Amino acid sequence: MLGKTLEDYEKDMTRCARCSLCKWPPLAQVKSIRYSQVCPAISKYNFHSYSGGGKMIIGLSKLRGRVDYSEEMLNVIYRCSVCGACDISCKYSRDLEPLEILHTLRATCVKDGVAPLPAHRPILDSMRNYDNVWQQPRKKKGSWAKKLDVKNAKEQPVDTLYFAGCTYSLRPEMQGIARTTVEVLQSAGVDLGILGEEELCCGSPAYTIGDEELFVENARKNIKALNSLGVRRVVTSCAGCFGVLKTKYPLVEPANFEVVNVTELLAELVEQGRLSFSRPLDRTITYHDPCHLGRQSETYKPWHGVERKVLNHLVIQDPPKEFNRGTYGVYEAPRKVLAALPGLELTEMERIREFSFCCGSGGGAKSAFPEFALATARERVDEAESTGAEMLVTACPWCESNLSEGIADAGSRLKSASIIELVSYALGGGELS
Amino acid sequence: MTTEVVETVDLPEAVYEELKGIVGQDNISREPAVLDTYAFQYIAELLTGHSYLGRPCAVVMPASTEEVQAIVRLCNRESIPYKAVSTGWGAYGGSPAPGILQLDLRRMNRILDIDTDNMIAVVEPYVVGATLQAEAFKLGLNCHIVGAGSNTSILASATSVMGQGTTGVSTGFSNRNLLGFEWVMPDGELLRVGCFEDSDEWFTGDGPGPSLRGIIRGFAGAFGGLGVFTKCAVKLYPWFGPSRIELTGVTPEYDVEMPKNHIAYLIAFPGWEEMKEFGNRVGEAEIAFSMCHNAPAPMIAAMMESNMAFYDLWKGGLAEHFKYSLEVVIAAQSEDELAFQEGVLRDIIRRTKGREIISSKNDLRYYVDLTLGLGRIVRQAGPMATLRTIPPLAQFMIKSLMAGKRPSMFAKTLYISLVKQHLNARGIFRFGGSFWTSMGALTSWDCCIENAKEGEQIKRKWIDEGVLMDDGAENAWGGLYESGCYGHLEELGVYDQSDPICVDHGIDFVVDTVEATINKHLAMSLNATGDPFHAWYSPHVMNYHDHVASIKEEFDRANLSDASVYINRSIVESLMKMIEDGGGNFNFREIMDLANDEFVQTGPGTETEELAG
Repeated sequence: MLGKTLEDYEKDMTRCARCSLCKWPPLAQVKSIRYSQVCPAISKYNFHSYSGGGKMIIGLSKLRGRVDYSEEMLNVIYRCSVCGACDISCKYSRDLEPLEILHTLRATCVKDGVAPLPAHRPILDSMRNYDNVWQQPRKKKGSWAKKLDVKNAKEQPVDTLYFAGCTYSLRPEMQGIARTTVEVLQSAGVDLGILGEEELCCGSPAYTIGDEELFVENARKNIKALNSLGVRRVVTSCAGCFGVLKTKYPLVEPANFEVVNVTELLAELVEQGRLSFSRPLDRTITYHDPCHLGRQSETYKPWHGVERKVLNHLVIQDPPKEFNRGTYGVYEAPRKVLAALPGLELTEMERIREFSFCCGSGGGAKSAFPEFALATARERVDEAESTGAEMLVTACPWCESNLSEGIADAGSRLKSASIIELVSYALGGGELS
Repeated sequence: MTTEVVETVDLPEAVYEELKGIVGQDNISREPAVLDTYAFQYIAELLTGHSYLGRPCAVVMPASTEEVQAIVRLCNRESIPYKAVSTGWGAYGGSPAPGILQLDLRRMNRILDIDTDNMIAVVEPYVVGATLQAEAFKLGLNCHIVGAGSNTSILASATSVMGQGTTGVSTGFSNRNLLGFEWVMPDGELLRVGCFEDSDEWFTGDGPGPSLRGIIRGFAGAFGGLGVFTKCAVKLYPWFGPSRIELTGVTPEYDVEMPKNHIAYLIAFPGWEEMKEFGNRVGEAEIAFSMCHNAPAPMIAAMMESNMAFYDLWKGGLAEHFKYSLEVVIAAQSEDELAFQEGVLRDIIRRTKGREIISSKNDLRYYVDLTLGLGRIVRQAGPMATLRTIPPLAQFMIKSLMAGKRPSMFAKTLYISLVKQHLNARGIFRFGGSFWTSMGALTSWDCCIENAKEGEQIKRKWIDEGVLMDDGAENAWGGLYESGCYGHLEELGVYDQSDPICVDHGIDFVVDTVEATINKHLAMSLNATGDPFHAWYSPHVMNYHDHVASIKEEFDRANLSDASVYINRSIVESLMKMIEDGGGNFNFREIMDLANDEFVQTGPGTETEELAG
């Protein structure tokens, strides 16, 4: 969590039981040996150090001066998509904070000047210089919407701001999804606006890589800009933007708007009867829960208490602390939307919802360790194929992009798609691949 | 923050290169940050005073028996001590001495065969209870999972470490379920036991071919002190349930659709004697799929999502209400069998003055039973005791209902916990961070009860001293095995491994329980592993150390398979002499420290000089 040090987590790190629960889904949810792993990092690299618990131990060893930084140690710390699956599995049984420790370990590396890794520097520099992660000029940020008839939220008051995010705005292969999102929401009567080239990066990569200073700077700029618009809500279709806007921004400054994901808004519109689907899809699909839409989308409740012990050694938090355990992630909304689409059959993978297996793209893994990101995507694609689905559907550009690479690399028959594409098709617009 | 001094032993460069050639570059590491994740171990603080054991010189991850053999042979050639772990949970996975070569068997993770006709599974070391059970369920079978949890290795439990589990009344004990194994012996030679000599058919642990179960593990296991086990065959049991138990909800509260003809109960008794009688009778009747005792504190904790939620309930005084209780699961093949088993169970409950606290069957029954049962409780325990019981029970019920937890949900949580063994960390580690066990070996159920009684008394002292968490003192965990032929109830002590008082004195509680088992003629302590305990125990148990040490000496002449939790004759006999010279008056902590120092100084691979002088 922001501004914390390894000292703050010494007791948590010491209290790791090295039980390895962080390597599996909550154990009662294990359905087969094939898909029994939940941590992409240890699934590929195997040494205990790669698990959530292993990284807690590394944090403790660093704190106690037992180890010094080395290339291999940094590899262990950063060959991780920070997907938070370890956190959910651990906290199913414990009152510890593995994900916060993992983040603090990265932030410590950055503060100590040994990180970011060389592969991460261009991304962070791009955020500093261009306010986006793709090293593109600022003015390009709005090009995706040129042909759309949509309000500029800076110029006209709107109820809802669509925060497109760097990837949907700047990646040519993804821009169509942003346009489709706007069209669908407008068709349902949502009073929508965008920021175009004035939209800033959400800051998520800086946070996950551990550059807290850059993240806070970015968040402050964004909160100030978004607060000034007076919009009721901000909707994102990028799970990464959603996760950070919803869960991390409240730690920086208060916001005067609600943050929702497009799947939540779509589910609401379906329930209100504002979207009517007429075109059958006639497909069997499976759905991949993005980490930042699912388990990592719970708003962090700041806690400023102290640890207290009662009954001699029962550790409790005073005042009581509300742990984020992934309980209130966005799992139902995308499924409700999919269930509303005619002719569509959803067949679930074994690892879903709070114990979904990550696509492998997050946490700077894709840029620094592409082979790890691809291997993780291949694992997820294999699981998706095992369901017999024709299509792997998700709600995050990073997931979609990385899973598409996994599909191509595997020579899989699966097609990938975003939920909004299916919605648009069922409304009678566009074609599916 | 002070900098900890870490003693390291470097692996010779040529040996490192050779190991790399065996396992591949990606599967060996001598990076301190990686090695520390193997040195850091649960309960290490009770042995070393801090969170780490000795740092290994390197960690290697073989993928096959051949690679394990090559590593062990290399260790023998170069006189490098070694130790293998599968899931690696517990200080017995490493060594207090720095410089061992750690074999992490994580890459050996296949279920090689499930023979449905003969009800046998053949597994590699990293297959855990959760994965074998998931695959076995699909075939109408089930496996024995140890109480540590379904995150632990099936093979490690079967070949090397203990083996008690909550379904033991119907699925036995890991030692007894071991039907065959592939053994890279301490010198690197390969032996397959319990299978037809010239085929891949795993058959039985007792022939044809030699039966060496007693040699490789006996009751407790060699804890990695006798080479490396690379495959094993374990017995499976019929599973009269669905191919997959479906859960609904989101973490941390899952609900379960109870399989047809399965019921979970929590049954409480007026005292130990009635609980003992109930256990014996249910065992005899052979109606239970699972029957075990979880003390009130871990049981309630397992059902609650946080320590705070546990504490809220616990403050109401629940300990007394559930203190003498057994959890029972019936898993019948048919409705008729269910009716029969339920009838028998209810009859035994009645005869042993039990009270059905909760059941998964329905909520209404719970409330009706509770209301009707008050009269019974008055008769059994007297009006004053009943009056004492009602307030905490009412408080428990109200708080549970306010938290959205119906009684049947508790029972369902209980059910899934007993069947899948997945809530153990919640039930015991979450309290303060750690726990350690003490007395409570496999013995007759009657003797188990005596262990539990004694354990409670001893533990109260260490709770009063502030060393252990006040869990109500009674925190015996265990159950009955093989239809009640024997059982175990081990006394658990909960502590905080980040608190100096626990680190300094946690072992003292264990020492007291060992002393009690000797002086009061209870069964040998579950925790009597390691040379100091052997030195204390052996004279009372036919000098067993001599036999065990002979096995080690014969099979591991170079003494390279780390024996820090197994046996080292010279250290044991030196310690025995010290005890004898002192006329039986000795400070066990001093002896333990001395043995640890000696082990660390001389290393696991070298013979030690006389300790006593």
